[in-house]
Amino acid sequence: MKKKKGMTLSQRLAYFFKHYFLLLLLALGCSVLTVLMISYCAF
Amino acid sequence: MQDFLSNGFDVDIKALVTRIIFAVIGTLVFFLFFYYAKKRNLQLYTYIVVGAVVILFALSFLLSGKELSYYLCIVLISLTALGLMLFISDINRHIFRLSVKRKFFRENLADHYGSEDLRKSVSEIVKSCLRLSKTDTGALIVLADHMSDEILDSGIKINSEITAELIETLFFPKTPLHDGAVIVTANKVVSAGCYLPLTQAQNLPREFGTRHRAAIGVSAAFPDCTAIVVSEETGIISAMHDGKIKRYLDSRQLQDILDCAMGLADESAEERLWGENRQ
Repeated sequence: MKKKKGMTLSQRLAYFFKHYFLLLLLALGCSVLTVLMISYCAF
Repeated sequence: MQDFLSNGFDVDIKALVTRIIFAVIGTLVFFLFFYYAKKRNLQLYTYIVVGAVVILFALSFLLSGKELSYYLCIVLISLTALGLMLFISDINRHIFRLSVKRKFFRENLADHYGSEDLRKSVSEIVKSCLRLSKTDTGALIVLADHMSDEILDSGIKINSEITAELIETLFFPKTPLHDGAVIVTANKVVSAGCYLPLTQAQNLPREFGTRHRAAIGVSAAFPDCTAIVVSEETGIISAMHDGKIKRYLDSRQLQDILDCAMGLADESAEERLWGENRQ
Protein backbone atom coordinates (compact mmCIF):
# COMPACT_ATOMS: atom_id res chain seq x y z
CA MET A 1 0.00 0.00 0.00
CA LYS A 2 1.41 3.31 -1.06
CA LYS A 3 0.60 6.79 0.25
CA LYS A 4 0.83 5.56 3.84
CA LYS A 5 2.46 8.63 5.30
CA GLY A 6 0.23 11.10 7.07
CA MET A 7 -2.79 8.80 7.16
CA THR A 8 -4.69 7.95 10.31
CA LEU A 9 -5.64 4.37 11.08
CA SER A 10 -9.23 4.86 9.92
CA GLN A 11 -8.03 6.46 6.70
CA ARG A 12 -5.65 3.57 6.13
CA LEU A 13 -8.46 1.07 6.70
CA ALA A 14 -10.74 3.00 4.36
CA TYR A 15 -8.00 3.08 1.70
CA PHE A 16 -7.40 -0.63 2.15
CA PHE A 17 -11.06 -1.60 1.83
CA LYS A 18 -11.59 0.73 -1.11
CA HIS A 19 -8.78 -0.90 -3.07
CA TYR A 20 -8.83 -4.47 -1.85
CA PHE A 21 -12.44 -5.17 -0.87
CA LEU A 22 -13.17 -7.31 -3.91
CA LEU A 23 -9.92 -9.23 -3.52
CA LEU A 24 -10.74 -9.85 0.14
CA LEU A 25 -14.22 -11.06 -0.76
CA LEU A 26 -12.77 -13.42 -3.35
CA ALA A 27 -10.35 -14.77 -0.74
CA LEU A 28 -13.24 -15.21 1.71
CA GLY A 29 -15.25 -17.12 -0.87
CA CYS A 30 -12.34 -19.41 -1.69
CA SER A 31 -11.66 -19.99 1.99
CA VAL A 32 -15.31 -20.83 2.80
CA LEU A 33 -15.40 -23.25 -0.09
CA THR A 34 -12.15 -24.88 1.07
CA VAL A 35 -13.37 -25.30 4.65
CA LEU A 36 -16.68 -26.73 3.46
CA MET A 37 -14.87 -29.00 1.07
CA ILE A 38 -12.63 -30.33 3.81
CA SER A 39 -15.50 -30.81 6.27
CA TYR A 40 -17.64 -32.60 3.69
CA CYS A 41 -14.76 -34.83 2.71
CA ALA A 42 -13.83 -35.51 6.33
CA PHE A 43 -17.32 -36.31 7.64
CA MET B 1 -29.64 -34.15 4.43
CA GLN B 2 -27.26 -32.77 7.01
CA ASP B 3 -26.94 -29.18 5.92
CA PHE B 4 -23.89 -27.70 7.59
CA LEU B 5 -24.98 -24.07 7.28
CA SER B 6 -28.61 -24.36 8.32
CA ASN B 7 -28.15 -27.00 11.02
CA GLY B 8 -24.64 -26.03 12.10
CA PHE B 9 -25.67 -24.83 15.54
CA ASP B 10 -27.67 -27.98 16.28
CA VAL B 11 -24.87 -30.28 15.21
CA ASP B 12 -21.81 -29.18 17.11
CA ILE B 13 -20.90 -25.68 18.26
CA LYS B 14 -17.26 -26.64 18.70
CA ALA B 15 -16.96 -27.87 15.15
CA LEU B 16 -18.62 -24.69 13.91
CA VAL B 17 -16.17 -22.46 15.81
CA THR B 18 -13.25 -24.49 14.47
CA ARG B 19 -14.57 -24.07 10.94
CA ILE B 20 -14.99 -20.31 11.38
CA ILE B 21 -11.41 -20.00 12.68
CA PHE B 22 -10.17 -22.04 9.73
CA ALA B 23 -12.21 -19.87 7.35
CA VAL B 24 -10.67 -16.67 8.79
CA ILE B 25 -7.13 -18.06 8.56
CA GLY B 26 -7.87 -19.36 5.06
CA THR B 27 -9.19 -15.94 4.01
CA LEU B 28 -5.97 -14.31 5.20
CA VAL B 29 -3.81 -16.83 3.38
CA PHE B 30 -5.81 -16.56 0.15
CA PHE B 31 -5.87 -12.77 0.41
CA LEU B 32 -2.11 -12.51 0.89
CA PHE B 33 -1.60 -14.78 -2.09
CA PHE B 34 -3.99 -12.80 -4.34
CA TYR B 35 -2.56 -9.50 -3.10
CA TYR B 36 1.04 -10.36 -4.01
CA ALA B 37 -0.08 -12.00 -7.27
CA LYS B 38 -1.84 -8.74 -8.23
CA LYS B 39 1.11 -6.60 -7.10
CA ARG B 40 3.58 -8.59 -9.19
CA ASN B 41 1.32 -8.87 -12.22
CA LEU B 42 1.06 -12.65 -11.79
CA GLN B 43 -2.70 -12.79 -12.01
CA LEU B 44 -2.51 -16.10 -13.87
CA TYR B 45 -1.78 -17.73 -10.49
CA THR B 46 -4.98 -16.18 -9.10
CA TYR B 47 -7.02 -17.72 -11.93
CA ILE B 48 -5.38 -21.11 -11.32
CA VAL B 49 -5.99 -21.05 -7.55
CA VAL B 50 -9.62 -19.87 -7.80
CA GLY B 51 -10.31 -22.36 -10.58
CA ALA B 52 -8.69 -25.19 -8.61
CA VAL B 53 -10.71 -24.40 -5.46
CA VAL B 54 -14.01 -24.29 -7.36
CA ILE B 55 -13.26 -27.48 -9.31
CA LEU B 56 -12.07 -29.38 -6.19
CA PHE B 57 -15.14 -28.19 -4.30
CA ALA B 58 -17.46 -29.35 -7.07
CA LEU B 59 -15.61 -32.69 -7.24
CA SER B 60 -15.81 -33.22 -3.48
CA PHE B 61 -19.56 -32.63 -3.66
CA LEU B 62 -20.05 -34.97 -6.56
CA LEU B 63 -17.96 -37.69 -4.90
CA SER B 64 -19.59 -37.35 -1.47
CA GLY B 65 -23.02 -37.65 -3.13
CA LYS B 66 -24.54 -34.73 -1.23
CA GLU B 67 -26.87 -32.09 -2.62
CA LEU B 68 -25.66 -28.56 -3.14
CA SER B 69 -27.47 -26.37 -0.61
CA TYR B 70 -29.09 -23.02 -1.35
CA TYR B 71 -26.41 -21.12 0.61
CA LEU B 72 -23.57 -22.81 -1.20
CA CYS B 73 -25.17 -21.94 -4.53
CA ILE B 74 -25.14 -18.28 -3.46
CA VAL B 75 -21.46 -18.52 -2.43
CA LEU B 76 -20.54 -20.16 -5.75
CA ILE B 77 -22.49 -17.64 -7.85
CA SER B 78 -21.07 -14.66 -5.94
CA LEU B 79 -17.57 -16.10 -6.26
CA THR B 80 -17.98 -16.42 -10.02
CA ALA B 81 -19.45 -12.90 -10.28
CA LEU B 82 -16.62 -11.48 -8.16
CA GLY B 83 -14.00 -13.22 -10.22
CA LEU B 84 -15.58 -11.82 -13.38
CA MET B 85 -15.75 -8.30 -11.92
CA LEU B 86 -12.14 -8.38 -10.77
CA PHE B 87 -10.62 -9.79 -13.90
CA ILE B 88 -12.99 -8.59 -16.62
CA SER B 89 -10.31 -6.49 -18.27
CA ASP B 90 -7.85 -9.41 -18.31
CA ILE B 91 -10.49 -11.79 -19.59
CA ASN B 92 -11.43 -9.33 -22.34
CA ARG B 93 -7.81 -8.98 -23.32
CA HIS B 94 -7.21 -12.72 -23.44
CA ILE B 95 -10.35 -13.35 -25.52
CA PHE B 96 -9.31 -10.55 -27.88
CA ARG B 97 -5.78 -11.92 -28.13
CA LEU B 98 -7.09 -15.38 -28.96
CA SER B 99 -9.34 -14.06 -31.69
CA VAL B 100 -6.84 -11.79 -33.39
CA LYS B 101 -4.04 -14.32 -33.25
CA ARG B 102 -5.93 -16.74 -35.45
CA LYS B 103 -4.86 -15.99 -38.99
CA PHE B 104 -8.27 -16.67 -40.48
CA PHE B 105 -9.75 -13.85 -38.44
CA ARG B 106 -7.25 -11.44 -39.90
CA GLU B 107 -7.97 -9.87 -43.21
CA ASN B 108 -5.13 -9.45 -45.59
CA LEU B 109 -4.87 -5.72 -46.19
CA ALA B 110 -3.12 -6.20 -49.51
CA ASP B 111 -6.25 -7.97 -50.84
CA HIS B 112 -8.45 -4.99 -50.01
CA TYR B 113 -6.11 -2.18 -50.94
CA GLY B 114 -3.67 -2.24 -53.80
CA SER B 115 -0.21 -3.33 -52.70
CA GLU B 116 1.15 -0.31 -54.59
CA ASP B 117 -0.87 2.01 -52.33
CA LEU B 118 0.37 0.22 -49.25
CA ARG B 119 4.00 0.36 -50.41
CA LYS B 120 3.63 4.08 -50.99
CA SER B 121 2.21 4.48 -47.48
CA VAL B 122 5.13 2.52 -46.03
CA SER B 123 7.68 4.70 -47.80
CA GLU B 124 5.90 7.86 -46.64
CA ILE B 125 5.91 6.65 -43.01
CA VAL B 126 9.60 5.69 -43.25
CA LYS B 127 10.44 9.08 -44.74
CA SER B 128 8.54 10.95 -42.03
CA CYS B 129 10.07 8.86 -39.21
CA LEU B 130 13.60 9.50 -40.47
CA ARG B 131 12.97 13.25 -40.68
CA LEU B 132 11.34 13.31 -37.23
CA SER B 133 14.30 11.34 -35.86
CA LYS B 134 16.78 13.82 -37.33
CA THR B 135 15.01 16.75 -35.67
CA ASP B 136 14.47 14.86 -32.36
CA THR B 137 10.72 15.27 -32.62
CA GLY B 138 8.71 12.76 -30.59
CA ALA B 139 6.24 10.64 -32.54
CA LEU B 140 3.99 7.64 -31.97
CA ILE B 141 2.40 5.92 -34.96
CA VAL B 142 0.18 2.86 -34.51
CA LEU B 143 -0.55 0.64 -37.49
CA ALA B 144 -3.59 -1.53 -36.93
CA ASP B 145 -6.13 -3.36 -39.10
CA HIS B 146 -8.78 -2.70 -36.50
CA MET B 147 -8.56 -0.36 -33.55
CA SER B 148 -11.08 -0.02 -30.76
CA ASP B 149 -13.55 2.85 -31.10
CA GLU B 150 -12.65 3.97 -27.59
CA ILE B 151 -9.09 4.77 -28.70
CA LEU B 152 -10.12 6.26 -32.07
CA ASP B 153 -12.69 8.53 -30.42
CA SER B 154 -10.14 9.81 -27.90
CA GLY B 155 -8.42 11.66 -30.74
CA ILE B 156 -9.49 13.67 -33.74
CA LYS B 157 -10.70 11.83 -36.84
CA ILE B 158 -8.49 12.64 -39.84
CA ASN B 159 -9.25 9.97 -42.49
CA SER B 160 -6.67 11.21 -44.91
CA GLU B 161 -4.12 9.71 -47.27
CA ILE B 162 -0.75 9.09 -45.63
CA THR B 163 1.91 11.59 -46.57
CA ALA B 164 5.20 12.31 -44.82
CA GLU B 165 4.27 16.00 -44.60
CA LEU B 166 0.96 15.25 -42.86
CA ILE B 167 2.63 13.01 -40.25
CA GLU B 168 5.36 15.56 -39.60
CA THR B 169 2.76 18.30 -39.22
CA LEU B 170 0.74 16.22 -36.78
CA PHE B 171 3.80 15.72 -34.55
CA PHE B 172 5.09 19.27 -34.82
CA PRO B 173 5.70 20.45 -31.21
CA LYS B 174 3.25 22.86 -29.58
CA THR B 175 0.43 21.90 -31.95
CA PRO B 176 -2.71 20.51 -30.27
CA LEU B 177 -2.42 16.98 -31.69
CA HIS B 178 1.32 16.36 -31.31
CA ASP B 179 1.11 14.69 -27.90
CA GLY B 180 -1.10 11.72 -28.81
CA ALA B 181 -0.80 8.76 -31.12
CA VAL B 182 -1.54 8.72 -34.83
CA ILE B 183 -3.56 5.66 -35.84
CA VAL B 184 -2.92 4.35 -39.34
CA THR B 185 -5.06 1.72 -41.05
CA ALA B 186 -3.87 0.56 -44.47
CA ASN B 187 -3.29 3.71 -46.55
CA LYS B 188 -5.18 6.14 -44.30
CA VAL B 189 -4.33 8.21 -41.26
CA VAL B 190 -7.52 7.45 -39.36
CA SER B 191 -7.15 9.48 -36.20
CA ALA B 192 -4.57 11.66 -34.46
CA GLY B 193 -3.97 12.80 -30.89
CA CYS B 194 -5.31 9.49 -29.52
CA TYR B 195 -4.76 8.32 -25.95
CA LEU B 196 -3.46 4.77 -25.54
CA PRO B 197 -3.39 2.36 -22.58
CA LEU B 198 -0.01 2.53 -20.78
CA THR B 199 1.88 -0.60 -19.81
CA GLN B 200 2.57 -1.12 -16.11
CA ALA B 201 5.66 -3.27 -16.73
CA GLN B 202 8.50 -2.51 -14.30
CA ASN B 203 11.43 -3.99 -16.22
CA LEU B 204 11.68 -1.39 -18.99
CA PRO B 205 14.78 0.72 -19.72
CA ARG B 206 14.86 3.98 -17.79
CA GLU B 207 14.90 6.10 -20.91
CA PHE B 208 11.45 4.79 -21.88
CA GLY B 209 8.96 7.55 -21.21
CA THR B 210 5.21 7.71 -21.48
CA ARG B 211 5.28 7.53 -25.27
CA HIS B 212 7.16 4.20 -25.24
CA ARG B 213 4.96 2.88 -22.45
CA ALA B 214 1.87 3.76 -24.48
CA ALA B 215 3.32 1.98 -27.52
CA ILE B 216 4.09 -1.19 -25.53
CA GLY B 217 0.69 -0.99 -23.85
CA VAL B 218 -1.23 -0.79 -27.11
CA SER B 219 0.85 -3.49 -28.79
CA ALA B 220 0.23 -5.83 -25.85
CA ALA B 221 -3.49 -5.09 -25.75
CA PHE B 222 -3.97 -5.36 -29.53
CA PRO B 223 -1.50 -7.98 -30.77
CA ASP B 224 -2.27 -7.39 -34.44
CA CYS B 225 -0.99 -3.82 -34.28
CA THR B 226 2.51 -2.42 -34.60
CA ALA B 227 3.58 0.80 -32.91
CA ILE B 228 6.44 2.96 -34.13
CA VAL B 229 8.01 5.40 -31.68
CA VAL B 230 10.47 8.19 -32.35
CA SER B 231 12.10 9.28 -29.11
CA GLU B 232 11.94 12.98 -28.36
CA GLU B 233 15.17 12.92 -26.32
CA THR B 234 17.40 10.79 -28.52
CA GLY B 235 15.66 10.54 -31.88
CA ILE B 236 15.94 6.74 -31.69
CA ILE B 237 13.30 4.89 -33.71
CA SER B 238 11.74 1.86 -31.99
CA ALA B 239 9.00 -0.54 -32.95
CA MET B 240 6.69 -2.55 -30.69
CA HIS B 241 4.58 -5.52 -31.68
CA ASP B 242 2.75 -8.02 -29.46
CA GLY B 243 4.56 -6.61 -26.41
CA LYS B 244 7.99 -7.12 -28.06
CA ILE B 245 10.38 -4.23 -28.64
CA LYS B 246 12.91 -3.52 -31.39
CA ARG B 247 15.14 -0.47 -30.94
CA TYR B 248 17.73 1.52 -32.88
CA LEU B 249 16.00 0.91 -36.20
CA ASP B 250 17.46 2.17 -39.46
CA SER B 251 15.39 2.86 -42.57
CA ARG B 252 15.77 -0.71 -43.94
CA GLN B 253 14.64 -2.38 -40.69
CA LEU B 254 11.81 0.10 -40.29
CA GLN B 255 10.64 -0.64 -43.81
CA ASP B 256 10.68 -4.42 -43.14
CA ILE B 257 8.64 -3.93 -39.97
CA LEU B 258 6.13 -1.71 -41.75
CA ASP B 259 5.88 -4.20 -44.63
CA CYS B 260 4.96 -6.89 -42.09
CA ALA B 261 2.46 -4.60 -40.39
CA MET B 262 0.78 -3.79 -43.72
CA GLY B 263 0.66 -7.46 -44.74
CA LEU B 264 3.12 -6.96 -47.60
CA ALA B 265 5.66 -9.48 -46.25
CA ASP B 266 5.05 -13.20 -45.90
CA GLU B 267 4.70 -15.01 -42.57
CA SER B 268 8.30 -16.26 -42.49
CA ALA B 269 9.57 -12.67 -42.68
CA GLU B 270 7.26 -11.79 -39.79
CA GLU B 271 8.63 -14.67 -37.73
CA ARG B 272 12.21 -13.70 -38.53
CA LEU B 273 11.51 -10.17 -37.32
CA TRP B 274 9.46 -10.81 -34.21
CA GLY B 275 10.38 -14.37 -33.25
CA GLU B 276 8.53 -17.63 -33.70
CA ASN B 277 6.72 -17.85 -30.39
CA ARG B 278 3.49 -16.53 -31.83
CA GLN B 279 0.43 -18.65 -31.02
